[in-house]
Amino acid sequence: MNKNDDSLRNFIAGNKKLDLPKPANEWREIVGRIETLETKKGWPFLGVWIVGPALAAGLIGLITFKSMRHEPLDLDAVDLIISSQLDPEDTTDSEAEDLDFADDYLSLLDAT
Amino acid sequence: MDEFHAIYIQNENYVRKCLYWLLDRELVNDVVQEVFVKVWQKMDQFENKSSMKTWIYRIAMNTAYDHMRKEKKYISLETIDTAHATTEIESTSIHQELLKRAVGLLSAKQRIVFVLYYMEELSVQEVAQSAGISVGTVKSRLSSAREVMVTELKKHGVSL
Repeated sequence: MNKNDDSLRNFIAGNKKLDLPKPANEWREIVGRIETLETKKGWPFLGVWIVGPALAAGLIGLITFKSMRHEPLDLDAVDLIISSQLDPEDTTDSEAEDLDFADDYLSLLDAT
Repeated sequence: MDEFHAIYIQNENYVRKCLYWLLDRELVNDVVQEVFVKVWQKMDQFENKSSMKTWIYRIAMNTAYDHMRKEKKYISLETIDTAHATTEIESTSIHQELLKRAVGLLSAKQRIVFVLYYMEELSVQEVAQSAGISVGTVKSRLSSAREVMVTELKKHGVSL
């Protein structure tokens, strides 16, 4: 093994010499990569304290706006309910039946 | 940044040479950059337990290892014709190419210890520190790597 090892060492010593040129902008590129990484480090802070609350507020606003827009108060229905309470004669048949049922129910309660 | 620049100036040359033997040629310059970006990121973890050089070797070896695991076995020694080398310069450059390709035949783990020991001429202890393995493991990997290298080189007419 030692003889082989010495020959291998000699062969390598004679053939390992390299003249590898350093790229001209290498240092600048390393600094550029480091600066990019440092900038990225700042993003989580910005995300948590600025973008996060802004997104949450926007979302709440959107939900509120949507719910107001899709479920408006039905004024006709309110009017009908009020008028039927005041004058059962003016109501339609089915509404009158509903009211009769309510009257029956109340009288039943009184009896007990 | 001045201190880091000095570290880069002192160390980039051997890191580049080492990576040349470990990786595909086109990758070397990019990986040199990657190594020094990691050196910058880990500067505060350097504890003077080993020399700065050994510490940087270790970062370089880990980075190279990540790349080596991804690479395909791309090397064929058959394409190199040592018999037709006429001048000494031609012969040296052919032997250099042969050596590079033979190193490429080693497994990633063998290659690391082989390059550190034979090309960089580190001691077995330094190789162990740089590669993050035990002295015994270094010796066994060196032994198997040596076997592969000698067989391959002999096969292509190198007298060892």
